[in-house]
Amino acid sequence: MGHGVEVTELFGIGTKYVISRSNRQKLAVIVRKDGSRELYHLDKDNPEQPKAVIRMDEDEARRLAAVLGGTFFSD
Amino acid sequence: MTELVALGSAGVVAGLLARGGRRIALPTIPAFMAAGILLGPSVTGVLDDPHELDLVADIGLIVLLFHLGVEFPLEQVMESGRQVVQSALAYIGLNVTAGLALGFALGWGTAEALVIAGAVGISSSAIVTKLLIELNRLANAETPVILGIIVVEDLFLAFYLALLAPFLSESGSFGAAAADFAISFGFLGGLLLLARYGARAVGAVLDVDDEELLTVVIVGLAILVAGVADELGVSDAIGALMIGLVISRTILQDRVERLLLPVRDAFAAIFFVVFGAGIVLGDLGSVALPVAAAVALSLTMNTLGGLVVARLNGLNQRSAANAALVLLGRGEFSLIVATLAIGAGLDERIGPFVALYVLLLALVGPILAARSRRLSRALPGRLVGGGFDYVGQETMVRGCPHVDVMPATPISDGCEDCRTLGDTWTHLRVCLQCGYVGCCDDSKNRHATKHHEDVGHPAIASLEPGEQWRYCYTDGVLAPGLGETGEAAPAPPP
Repeated sequence: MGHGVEVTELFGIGTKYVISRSNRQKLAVIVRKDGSRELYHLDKDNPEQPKAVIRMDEDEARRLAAVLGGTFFSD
Repeated sequence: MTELVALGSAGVVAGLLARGGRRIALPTIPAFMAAGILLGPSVTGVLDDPHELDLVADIGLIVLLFHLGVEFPLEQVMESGRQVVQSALAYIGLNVTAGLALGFALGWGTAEALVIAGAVGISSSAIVTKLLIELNRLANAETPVILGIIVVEDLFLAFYLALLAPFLSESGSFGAAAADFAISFGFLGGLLLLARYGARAVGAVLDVDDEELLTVVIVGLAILVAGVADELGVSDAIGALMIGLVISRTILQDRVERLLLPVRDAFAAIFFVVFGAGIVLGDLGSVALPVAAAVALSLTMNTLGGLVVARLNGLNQRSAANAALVLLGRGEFSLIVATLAIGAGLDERIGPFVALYVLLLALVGPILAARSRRLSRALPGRLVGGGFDYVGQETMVRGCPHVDVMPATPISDGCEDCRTLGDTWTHLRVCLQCGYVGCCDDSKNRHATKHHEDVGHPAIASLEPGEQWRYCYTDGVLAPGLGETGEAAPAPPP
């Protein structure tokens, strides 16, 4: 709950970070041991499946993170 | 055929067949085994004498188990709390006991019964992990528990193999059997102690600042320890697993895990192909009935296991069904155990039995796991202990500031809004803040949810007799009800 990030260890796979959003949705990021990332968009109105799952390799994840974090500048 | 041609075709056919198998969601391990059956003497005969490849298959088995040991997260499992270990022991206990009972019921012999117990009782880490990823379930509430269970199963395998060793060595007297037992567990214990206290020293000795040399030394070490274990009458499988566990606690762990992955993939595939090549296609028919019984038993025990796991971890029946059907995957461990049995010259029906069992579960397992929702609907909520009925996908039972309030008394004994409209309802919910009674989301009008949307009151409780749960719309949290003893429990409808 709350507004933090919930961290869970996934044995043999990696680490799961869950960010709860105010609109009853959650974002889960799974950082796998091989460096790849999976981004899950979870919505409780769609019980069967996550709304979206995005798989990225480490490099793609870093580029996305730079854009999301506002540290990406182009000239 | 020369050995090299046989070995090469084993790799190529296995890889290509597994690629084709992906389209029907067939896991790779059974696909490799099927490739072996096709190449073997009973079908095409390319691998007319699978024993030619025994040494390569042995290396496959060794690196497979060694790698398993290396990636073993012993510390995290111990830190993850009692529920995970309890869940794993419950799951293993149910499945292995049932497998043992089936083994004795078949009447093939005591050693055979023990082998069957292991083959039908232990899930495949590889298949389970892959299935969770492919079904997009990594973020589910039950997933950390499932992964914990397969990790404990890996460790259980070591103890189980040590237990099995004396039965496979056909020691004549009781004394000899006891000595075998002592050697098995002594070896296991010694390597466990080395893992606990000597890992730093082992790491210091083996640490080479060169990837090529590290690979050479580590592969050699894995094969050496496995070989010594084999000489001692303990299986080479245990030796490989335990020395992997030692390495997992050294500073080399990350590097070894990464360097050995391709070695493992290439050689383990050969192990599965050679196992398949030892199976005569015609023999599969004669074990069809025992295999059908084993599959039915595994389905039952996994469902029970899923319920126990859900109960221990406060998960709902949706999670119970997911856990039950995902953990159904059987693969490498069943084949390893069967290989040991064949090597020891046990009843020759063991090979075909395990092969057909693994193949069948590989075909139905992923299909059932993807449709676990149907099973979850059939499971009564009270079996998982929370007393709540299936509610959305919410799986984790926790509190939140909105449900942890003194609930208001229900203001009515039915959905007044439905009565005004002349409609009926399925179940009733009560608003925890004002006591408004409305119909549930399975009802036509969904007045309880509408009440939340209209006035913004965050949480409800079920008014359905026998159901004990509270739900918060704002945080999406499903929490257990306060129970009959709690003064705040919602009053049952008249």
